[in-house]
Parts: sequence; C-alpha cells; structure tokens
Amino acid sequence: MAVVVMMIVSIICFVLSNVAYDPAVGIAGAQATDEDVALIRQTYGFDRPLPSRFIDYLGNLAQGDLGVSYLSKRPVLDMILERLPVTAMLAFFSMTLALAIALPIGCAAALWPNTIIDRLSQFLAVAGQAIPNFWAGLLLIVLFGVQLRWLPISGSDTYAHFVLPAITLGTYAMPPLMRLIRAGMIDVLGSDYIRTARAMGIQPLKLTFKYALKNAVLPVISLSAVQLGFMLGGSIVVESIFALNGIGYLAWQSMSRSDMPVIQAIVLMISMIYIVLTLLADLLNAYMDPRLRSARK
Amino acid sequence: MTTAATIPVPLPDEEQLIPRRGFWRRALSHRTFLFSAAILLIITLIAIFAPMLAPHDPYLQNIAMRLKPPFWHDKTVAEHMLGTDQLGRDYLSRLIYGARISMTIAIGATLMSALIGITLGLIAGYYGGWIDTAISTVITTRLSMPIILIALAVVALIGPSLTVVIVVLGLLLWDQFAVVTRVATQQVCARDYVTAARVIGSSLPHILFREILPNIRAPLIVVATVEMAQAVLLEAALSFLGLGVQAPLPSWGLMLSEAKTSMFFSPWMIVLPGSCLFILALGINLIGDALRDLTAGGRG
Amino acid sequence: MMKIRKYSRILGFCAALAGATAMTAPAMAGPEDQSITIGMGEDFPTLDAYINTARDGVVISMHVFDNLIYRNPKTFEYEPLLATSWEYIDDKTLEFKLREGVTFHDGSPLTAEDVAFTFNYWADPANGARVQASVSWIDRTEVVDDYTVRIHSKTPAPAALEFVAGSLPVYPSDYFQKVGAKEFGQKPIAAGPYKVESFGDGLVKLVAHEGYYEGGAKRTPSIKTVNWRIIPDTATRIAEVIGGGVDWVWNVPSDQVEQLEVVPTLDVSLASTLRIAMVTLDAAGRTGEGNPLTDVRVRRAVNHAIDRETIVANLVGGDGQVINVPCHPVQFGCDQDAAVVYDYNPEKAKELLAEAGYADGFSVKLGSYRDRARAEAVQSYLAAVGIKADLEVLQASPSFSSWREGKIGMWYGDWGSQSLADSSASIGSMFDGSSNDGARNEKVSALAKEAASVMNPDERKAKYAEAIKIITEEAYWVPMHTIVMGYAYSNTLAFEPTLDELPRFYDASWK
Repeated sequence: MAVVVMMIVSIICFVLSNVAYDPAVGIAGAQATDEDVALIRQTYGFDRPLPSRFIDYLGNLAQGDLGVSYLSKRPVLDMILERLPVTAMLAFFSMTLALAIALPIGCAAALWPNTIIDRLSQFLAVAGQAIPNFWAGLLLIVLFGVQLRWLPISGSDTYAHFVLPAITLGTYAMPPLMRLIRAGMIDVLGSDYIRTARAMGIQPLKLTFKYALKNAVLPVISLSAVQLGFMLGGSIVVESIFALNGIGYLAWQSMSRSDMPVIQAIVLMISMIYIVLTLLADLLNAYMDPRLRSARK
Repeated sequence: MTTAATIPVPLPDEEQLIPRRGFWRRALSHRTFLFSAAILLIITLIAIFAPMLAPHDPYLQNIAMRLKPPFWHDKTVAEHMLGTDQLGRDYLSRLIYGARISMTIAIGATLMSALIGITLGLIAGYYGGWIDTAISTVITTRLSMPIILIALAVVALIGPSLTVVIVVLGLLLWDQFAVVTRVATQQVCARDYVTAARVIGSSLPHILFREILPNIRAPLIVVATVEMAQAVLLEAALSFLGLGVQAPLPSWGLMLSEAKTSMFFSPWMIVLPGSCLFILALGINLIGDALRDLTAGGRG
Repeated sequence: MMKIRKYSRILGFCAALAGATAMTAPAMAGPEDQSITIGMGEDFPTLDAYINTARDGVVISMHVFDNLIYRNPKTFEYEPLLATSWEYIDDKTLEFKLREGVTFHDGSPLTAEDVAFTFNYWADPANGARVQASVSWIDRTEVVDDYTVRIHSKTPAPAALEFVAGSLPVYPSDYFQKVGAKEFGQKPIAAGPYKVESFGDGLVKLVAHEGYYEGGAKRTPSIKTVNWRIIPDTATRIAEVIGGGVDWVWNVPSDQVEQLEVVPTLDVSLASTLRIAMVTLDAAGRTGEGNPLTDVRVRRAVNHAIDRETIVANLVGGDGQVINVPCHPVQFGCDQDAAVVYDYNPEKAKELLAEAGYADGFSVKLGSYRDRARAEAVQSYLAAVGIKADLEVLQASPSFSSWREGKIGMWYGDWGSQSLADSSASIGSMFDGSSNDGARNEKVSALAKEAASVMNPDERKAKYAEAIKIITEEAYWVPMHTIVMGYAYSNTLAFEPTLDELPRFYDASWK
C-alpha cells in the first residue's frame, strides 16, 4: 500500500507542478516574452501529452532527480539537502521536548487518576492544543529575547538558538503524546498481567517503569513518527519567525514565488518521510511485542 | 502495513458509540462541560450579534486616530475601549467581527470535511473488501501530506479569500472523520439491528444514514470538535502568513500579522487577538474533552 | 524505555551529524573583533551584481565589487575608483584610464581586458542582465591599451556615467570564464573592499580584502567582517536589533522608528531616499482586454480617490513628501510643474466612475509589499468610491513579479531607480515597453528613449516634461510619495544614512 500511496502523492505533485502551473512560464522567468515561453515549451517537451510527461517525471524521480528550481536554477534535491539539517534539528529538539514533558506527566496522571496531577495534565494538553504556535513564538521572542534577553532570537548558530523555536513547535506536538501516554498507561495498569505482577509483590515503581511503561510506549512510537512528519510541515511558520534556514522557510519562499518544482519536491519528501516513519514504527511495534499488537486489535 | 487504522487517533470503544442515557442530566453537573459551553455560547452570540455589539464600524479607517492604546493605558481615548489599529480602526469592533470569521470558517470547514469524511468512512466500513482498501489508501495518502503546505500551495495558486480558505480546509481536514467513521461503522454493522434492517430489505441510504449514523454520532461529535479547533488555528496561521483571509476582513490571524511589528511597544495589539484565538480554541477543545468524558463514562 | 532510548539514539546521531554542519558558524561579536552583523529581509539565489538587483543585493554588491567610478552620495559628483580619469572623446565614446596595480581578491591584476570583457558580456541581452536599461546603451567596449578602455554607446548616452558608477561593476575575465556565470554568482571574485568568505545557509559573510588599493573613493574598511543575516520577518528583525543580536537593520516601519528611539542602546533615523512609491495601473489591459483600468476616466477616478496627503502625513513619516510625477523630484528631468495634478476628491472620483459606466464600482487585484498599513489605507480609500480591491501583500520580489507578469491590475509598489539621479532610471525604466511598463504608450516610450540619447540638457528636460505630461494626463500611475527609509542600529556604531539608500559599511566604524 505504501507504494500506492507514494504513487498518488506523486500524481498530486505532478499536477501541482505541471498542470496547475505552467512550467514553461516558470522556467522562462518574469522577463520572458511569449515567444520565449513557446520556445521553452518546445525544448523541454512541455507540449507533449500529459501521460508521457508523467512517465518521464516518474523516471526522473526514480533517479533522484527532483527537478530544477525556477528561481535559482539549482537542482531542487541539493537545495533540500542543504537545508534539511536545520529542520531535522528543530524537529528533533521539539520532539525531545514534547516527550520530556509528555512522558512523566502522562505517566503520573495515569498512576494517580483524578488527582491534581491528572487535572494538570489534562489542562496542559488542552491548552497546548489551543495555543496558536505563531503567536506563542512571537510572545516568546518578546519575553525571552527582548525583555529578559536570556536567549538568542533567530538563526541556528548554537544549540541555544533552537530553544525558543523548539518550545514553540514542541508545544504543538506535546498534547496528543501526553493523552496517548496517559490512556495507554491506564489501559496497561488495569490489565491482567500487571495485576498479577502486582500480586506477586513486584515493587510498584519498578513495575510502572519496567513493565507498564514499556508496553504503553508502543503506540507512542507510532504517534511520534507521525508527529515528526507533521512537524516538517508545521515548521513553516516557526522557521520564518525564527529565521531558521530550513525546509519550512524554503517552502514558504518558494510558495510566494511560485517555484513549483521546489514545492512539489518538499511535499513529496515529507510524504515519503511520513510513510517510511509509519512503516518503521509498525515494524518496530511488531518487533517489540507481537503479542500486544495482536491483543490491541 | 500502513493502513489508516494504525494511525493513532482516538478510536471509539464499543460502549462509546451511543451516548449514555441521562446525558443532559450528567452534562449539567459536569464542570468542564458547563465552562466550555459557556465560552462557546458567548463567542457564538458575539459572532451572531456582532453588528449590534460592535461600538464602531470595523472597517472605518480614521488615520488621524491611529494606534490609540486601550483603556488601561494613560493615553487611551474614551470612544475606543481597546484602542485602534494602524489605520485608526476600532480594535474592539474588529475583534468582535473577528469572532464571526473564525466561527464561519470553523463551522463551514468542519461541515464540509464531515460530509466528505463520514461518507467515505461509512462506505468503507459498510462494504469492506476492496472498497475499504481503496478508501483506506486515500485516507493514508491524505494523512501523509503536510496540511499547511498543501493549503498554502493551493491558496497561492488560486488566490486567497474567505471562501477559498473554507473550501481548502474542508478538503483537507476530513481524515479523522473518515478513520473514526470507518471503524465505528465496522463495529455497528455487526450488530443485530443493522442485520435486521438488511434482512427486511431497507434501502442502502436508509441503513447508512438512519441505522448506522445515529448510532455512531457520539465519537463523531468529538472528532468534529477537534477539527473545528484545527480549522480555527489553521485559518489564523494561513492569514498570518498572508495567504488566508484577506484585508480588510478582521480575521484574528490577520490582525496578528498586521500588528506584529508593533508588538514591542504596543503588546496589547498581539495579546488581544491571540488571546481571542486561544480562548476559542480552548473552548472547543474542552467541550470535546467533556463530551468524550460524558459519552464514555468516566474515561478520558 | 530502553527501546525509546535506542530510538532516540538514532535520531541523536542524525542530529549530531546535522549539528556538525550547523554549529560551525562562530558566535557573532561586534566591536571587539571589528565585525558587524546586518539583518536583511530577503534571500537571493546569486551574488552576481548584474542579476541580483534586489536592494540588499545591490548593497552587498557595492561592498564586493568596484566600478570604474564612484558617485559621492552627498555631492553627487563622480570620483575615481578603478578608473583614475575619464573623458568623452565624442558624444558616443567614453574613455577611462585605469588605476595601475589594482588586484582582484584572488591576487590577479586588473587590466582593460577585464573591463571590456565584463561590459561586452553583459551588454549582450542573451546573457540576461536583470536591468537592461543599465547595459543596453553600450554598443561595445574596446581595449585601447592595458590601462585604457573605451565604451562606445549606440546613441549619445547622457546618463552613461551614472550607469558606469551605479550598476556596472568590473569582473575578472579569466575567473569568470573559467567558472562560468552560475558558479561566479555563488563565489564571486572582484576588486571591491570586501571579499565573499561564505554565501549560503541564510548568511553572506564578507571579510575585508587585505590588498585593497588606497586612493580610491571607497575607504579601506575599518570594520573587518560584515555578516549579512537573512531574517525574513520584520518583527523578528526588530527584536534582534533591540536584543543586540544584530547591529544594524533597515526597512523599519516609521512607527517603530519613533518608538525605538527610547531604546538606550540604539540609534535610529528616518532618512529620505531616491525611492518613490506609486500605484501602477493596468492601462494596457494585461490582466484582461477591456478591463476597467483601460479607461482613462477610471484611472483618473482612482487618482482622485486616494488621499495621499493624509497617508503621507500619518503613515510615511520623516521627510516623506507627496509626489505628482512618475519620477523622484531630485532626479534630472523630473519637472513637477509638467504634471497634471489630481486632488483628493472622492465625489469627483465617483462621477468619473459613473461616466465610465462603473457607477457600481468593480473588483481589481491590488498587489503590494513593504508596508501593509499603507496598502490597506489605499484599499480603504478605493472601497469608499466603490472599487473593491483584493489586496495581496507579498515579499518584495514576488510582489514586483506579479505586476511584471500582468497578474494584478494595480500595484502599490516602489521604484528605487538603482539610486540613479536621472529620470532615465525612473521614467526610462518604468515606461520603456518592458514588463515594468503597464501603460505601453509608444509615444511615451519613444520620448523617454530620445531623452536618454541626446546630450543637450535643455532638450532632455523638454522631452521628459512632455513624457510626464502625457503620463499624468493619461493617469497611468497614481504617483504616491517618496519613501523614507527607517534605520535602527547600535549606538556605538558610527554610521550615516545616505540619500542613495546604499549603506556603506566600509565607511562605518565602531566608536
């Protein structure tokens, strides 16, 4: 199915870059005359029927050729690879932060349901989901960058530069993780084998962290993988506010200049990452606990 | 295999499918429900009665009266309680009309995505087999594509406007509806009353919309709240980036974007619309939680 | 838990790899190591000065590339740079004597060959110089001897020295031919006071060129390193300069300039420029044959509908002034008296619209950038007479492109004339029948062309005056106002804004 999904995504990308927007106009650039455009249409073969162009397009994709940017005339793949590290760092830090908050609080909420901690976790989850992340970003800049001057505001020179953007993006990724951890833990703690283990006199803390958490964490891995994919998309706003020169900013820039080859390549890449990550998470889940997997169904 | 079902979304349990009896009685003593319902009721009323509530025309510019601060500030002007924006438009009136835009988009986009998602989910869940596989593939495809990016690209191509934003969000936010409906339908189909309806030869639309849909409405309402909150925030993000609702419409996201360079010396200009967005999204999310709680009986 | 750790170790490894590349840039300092960090708004794909004509690009160009001569931003006199002297041999021939002993950044010597190659290469329209007006007047450039070069123009070119000083940098011919135009744009080598140390990843880093010659009009830099950082969001840029993360920013909205004055670590200024703002109108019907703006009455109505005085008094700030001409009043040939003036008169506007058959108004796309508030003000004035303008605010280059590609009916943009003080750079560039030109009036284009190719000043003035009269009579534009540039920079920096909107960091120093 992954292959089919990739196929559909590439069709959509092809439509985006070849049908919805005339590639000849894009390549010719702003100054071109009608004759220039016609000439380009002919040289690049844009006058051929769509199906045959689509096959070429797929062929190029298979060879790792994502096309050439209209604007910079550079291979799109190079542009993306150049900027991937910054976005990867951002996604990694945001995810770490989200998990660092979600894991302990989610577990605590499950261990002591209907207490203050549980309420706090629910409030955090709801509030985190409701904060517009670009707004949070602006507020963080005003507070920590300008008023208190604790943290650098923009750029990606040091790890400190990633703190504010990671908080902004992490807040957005944290709530579903926390909910899932809490729900998963409640499920597992109520299950038979934990009750048995408890009856056998295994220390409650050890029980929680060694046995229960291990199993509750399985769906979290799937979700983390999904969230990581989403984060690449969600980084558009964050990257443009914090001047991080990553994929999100590249996408935004290309958008405002109708640089379709870049946009479709980014969409394709994010989809691919998503599909690969969910596949990996599935495999990882199966590998870690086939019994639980079948039990969940 | 990567199927939609492996995507972790809140799937309904058996007992969640039908709202429990005594829903309203319990709802009225549920604090979160009352609180969030109150928030949403107030915002809805503000949206509906905006023309009566707004002290000024939200579009009326008066450049001589620009950038006046709100009432807690020394230099405030009596007639503009929450001050004015860069063009001297009344901030309070713009915030009030902003509620209209957010609510229109939230409801419009959610209805549209519900229609798409529920239809696909019902068909997939009812028929199963290759139809189910096909629809699941479509769902996975949709899930794999980055929403904001697609929304931006589409809006950039066809040009931004309120209608375009509603349609684009409606076309993108249906995935959870489809996933939840599909699973819930599979569960309900196994039940006696559906089998009975099939046996007595009820028509397909009758079975889908009369027998199945009413019985899976509880989880769908919860999904609807999630998507509404999403729509509100996505609209704001699109408008903030300049590819959403267009000026002079007073969208909260657009107001944030217009005011962001003033945030250092006139912080209220971003605090106010941002808070409005936060409160609306919070209200919607809380009521979703409360409904989940009420329909599932104690489990969150 | 173990597995989670394993999982995150993989990610951690990826991040460490990423870190290795991202972390190498050193922390940016300031006075201690004689460096400065500049915040700019837009990224650009190349540093080639003939292609990268975005304003920040032009500024970087003047630090990296040297031209033959230099125009003093205060006196507007030409001063020696790579050329020590120059003279007109005849109406169509300019001769330059080159300075001896000048070396490019790679140590190779500069000769007449380099000059001739550069000018001849870019004068060929096939090579795609972005502003054709600055090169199209050149017929050919000839090497007389190692240090003498002659430019032959196609017709007499009165603004030639303006172009030579403003937009014709000299490239090393060997290096350029060796690496090719594309690579040159990534790793340019030239003869300016700074050389490009790195370009990419949101940063252009310049370091002082140690072998820079003495005696030219550009000072040998006292600030040794200039970091140009791309910070797309204006609010973030302002935050950075308040927080001290960058030392210098411009394009600060005038409201913020006034307020930034109270920040104790900052100096601010609102300085006049050669840039003018206007609303261009699609008179030629590029957005559709017979659209309302092709009717002169509608264009006049638009002119009457906008209260420019109020906009200038409240939203422009500084020394900004209303203009009635399609050029900057400082420019040669820009005669304000030649213009037809449209006062603010919404009633008149409505009458004209009704006369043209648009009593109920019409819809149009209005593009803009730089200042959202001003654009919304114009939108609101148009709405008051029944014209519904859909506003599209983008970054500078995409916004300009949407006008040039004929996607929008109105463009509230601005034009900096490449900082040239001659109407050939404004009228001559915006009404030349190119994609900039939304009027496509052959008479006007011809007048502008003639005015740019006769030497007699009075004759030139008369031609420009006639062009101005037609342009304003036909209301091809709503001429709006001059642009005031807002700067904010560290108060330990000795820096002075110039009228030509080209900040010179080789002239700046730390106090």
